[in-house]
Amino acid sequence: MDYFIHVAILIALYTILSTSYNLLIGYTGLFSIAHAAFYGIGAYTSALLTLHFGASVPLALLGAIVVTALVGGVIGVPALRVRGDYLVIASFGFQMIVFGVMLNWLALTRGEGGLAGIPRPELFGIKIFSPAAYLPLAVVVAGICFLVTWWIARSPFGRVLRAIREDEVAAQSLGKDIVYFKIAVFALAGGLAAVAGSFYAHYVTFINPLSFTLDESIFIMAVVLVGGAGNLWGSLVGTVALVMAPEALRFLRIPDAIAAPFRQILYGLLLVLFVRFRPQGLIGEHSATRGTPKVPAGGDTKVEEGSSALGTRLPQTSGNGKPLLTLRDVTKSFGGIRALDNLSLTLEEGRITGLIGPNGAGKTTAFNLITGFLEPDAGSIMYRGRELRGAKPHEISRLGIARSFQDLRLFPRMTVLDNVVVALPGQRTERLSLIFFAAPHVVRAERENLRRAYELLAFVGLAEKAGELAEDLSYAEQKLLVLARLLATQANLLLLDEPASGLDPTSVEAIMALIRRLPDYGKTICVIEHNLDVIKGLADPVVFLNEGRTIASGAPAQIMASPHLADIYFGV
Amino acid sequence: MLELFAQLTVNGLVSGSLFALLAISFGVILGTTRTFHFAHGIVYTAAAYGAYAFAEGLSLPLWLGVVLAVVIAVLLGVGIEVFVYQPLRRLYASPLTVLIASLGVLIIVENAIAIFFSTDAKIISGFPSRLIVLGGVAFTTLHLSTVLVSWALFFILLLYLYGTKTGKAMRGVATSPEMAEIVGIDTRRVFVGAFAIGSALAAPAAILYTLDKGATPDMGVTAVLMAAIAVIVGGVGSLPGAALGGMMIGLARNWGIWLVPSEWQSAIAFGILLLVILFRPTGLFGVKLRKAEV
Repeated sequence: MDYFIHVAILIALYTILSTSYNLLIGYTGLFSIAHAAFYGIGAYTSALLTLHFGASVPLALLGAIVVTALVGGVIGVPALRVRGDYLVIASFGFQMIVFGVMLNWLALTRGEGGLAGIPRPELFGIKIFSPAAYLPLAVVVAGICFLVTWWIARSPFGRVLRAIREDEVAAQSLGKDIVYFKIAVFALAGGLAAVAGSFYAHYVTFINPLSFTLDESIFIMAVVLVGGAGNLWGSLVGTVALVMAPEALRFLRIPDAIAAPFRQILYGLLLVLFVRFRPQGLIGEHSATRGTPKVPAGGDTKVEEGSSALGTRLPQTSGNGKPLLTLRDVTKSFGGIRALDNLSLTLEEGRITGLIGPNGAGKTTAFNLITGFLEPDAGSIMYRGRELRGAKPHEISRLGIARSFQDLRLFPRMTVLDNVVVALPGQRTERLSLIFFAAPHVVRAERENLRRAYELLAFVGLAEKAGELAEDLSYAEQKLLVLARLLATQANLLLLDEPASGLDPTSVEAIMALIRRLPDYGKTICVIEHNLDVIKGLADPVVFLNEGRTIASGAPAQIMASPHLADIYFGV
Repeated sequence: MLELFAQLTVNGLVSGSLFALLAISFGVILGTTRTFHFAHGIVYTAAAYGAYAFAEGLSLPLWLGVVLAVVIAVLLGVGIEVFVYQPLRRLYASPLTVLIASLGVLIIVENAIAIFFSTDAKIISGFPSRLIVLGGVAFTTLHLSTVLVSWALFFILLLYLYGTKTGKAMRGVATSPEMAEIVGIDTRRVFVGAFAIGSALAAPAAILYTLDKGATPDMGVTAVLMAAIAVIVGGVGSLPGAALGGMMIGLARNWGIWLVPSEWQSAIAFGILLLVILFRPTGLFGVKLRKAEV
């Protein structure tokens, strides 16, 4: 009987480890293989605090969480600079170093001999000794951790994590501070793993480095990938399956000497087979969330005039001639190529300015400089009297400048609704601290945000598709979603990079009609487009770029009448 | 004092040459196919155990064992490409997915070797190693051979890449797979070629290491990590950079013995990696990429 209770306790323990690891790899797309290191740091910190400082178990647990979360935050730093491959290597290194410290720092950890005599916890004056008494405690602790992780994952914070996973650049362009989110999620995952570590230390009362090896990290990875990355229930299912599987192997009477490598082979096989034949895992991220989400109560899917989601409708319909953004003598070179050569450009408030010119004229480069994705070599970019040079993309986004990308850069494996909600600005509820300490506020703000997102989707005509994944939309619908996401930022200045390219004439008409309405809501627009009919139908003035500088600007009819410009444009 | 420094430097050059060989074997695959071939570590281990099985188990001459080990490495490396990576690429799997599969293969083969050969160190004898003492610095003929073989293979690889038609095709694919396809290069065959060459180069590295220190099933994990670090430090896509990265790691690990106990040698390499990631993420010789590929 004790044996089954022990297995149940292990399941509780690995549920904590796998769900916290899922936050990293499944939700944020950060491939770290150092989870056993966090687990180990938690276990050692908690054990040492009780053994050397006589701390009580709950206090030691708290200490372990804090220490591991701090270490996790520090490990998050290389993840800011790089992604993917490098992070794997860096986390691999971290795993090896932590293991090395446990093994070699004899004065502190007593090396391979490990730490023995770790005290058991006491609850209401009763020492918890038997596994049977431990089980309820394990279930409660694992349950709390699961709830915490679940609440985080489905909160606005979790939504931003998924956006970062899907497209980091796009998330930045929506004003998300990637630095904050990556460090926070590493700290969080570390802190949760520490709970498991502390729990383990005080349960077995003896720890040594061999419990926190690379193999352990790989096991946790296998659990998450088999269960389903990005789905916490998947991690629960994966944990139950993979903790029980080797226990079942015991009955096969495999000799002890090869039992451990045999288990590893099993995990390796699972990794290879699952990525090949069932990459979404047993329970995929979206297996339960398909279908149209319910329209929030009181939410009207019709856009009212002067709707709040679009901003206030202004009385005047044409621009007032005030400059909103001014580029002066901006230069940018890539190697020997001058992409922009003393470009000067003014965007007037409330107008739709068209940017045309042959390929390589520097149109998209200009957008990249305005939005802070590239740094100009010389010149100034003034927005409402403020110099934008040197500001980071998310800072510029928060000033009210938003851009779209030629290649859309939607968040493909998020719902249409989430693509829009994540772009709404000023979501203080994305802050981790608020998620817990102001839960009712979060719920209220979330309801309001969903309503606004629905309005925007209704505006572009996608309300029906709110529950579908962005990747399942047609190309024309994706282009509409790009527009809705852009509007959700509430930016005053919208930079549209080829909003109508690749569309059939009907869809072009539809998207033009939408863009034409935007100045009524106080939006200033700059649009890059190769389709001259679109430019004619939308923009005034039109600015003609060639070889990185403005060579003409004026009314569209005037620009297009010039035979000289036509020659340049069509490369004659 | 000076003698100790000279000795550590010589040791560093020897192990650095081996890391350099490993790094170019890993780098030629990463640079050409953009596949983070973690399982390269197990190709390396398999070559060592192959040589051991033939030279010690079957008592064949060492040179024959080496040849057969190269064959094993190439078969395993190409097999992983054809049966694991290619199907995943056809599914447009993300690089992360390919990496996970690679890790899976590494674990499977490593543990299979552990079951089959057990985990104690396997020694290959038969190399006539003699001690040479030169001005107070000691090294063996094996160490000398390590340096010579590593650098000879490095230059042969460069000659191949710059001097032959297939080598140039490989560099073309490395620079731009799309463009290479357009000019009529069969990228799939070039990929297989890169895996064959990289795997073949891993075998001598593995055998030279085993002759010196013996083979264990987990030797490949450390090896591929060091190779990956050397490539990142040198700059992905630059083979001279990878070789130099390998030398730097070898020297730093040995000079480090002065400062820290030898158990911490691996930590030194990761320290270098962290510094490079933080201050020069493109590596020492890497192509300067545009920020975040806007």
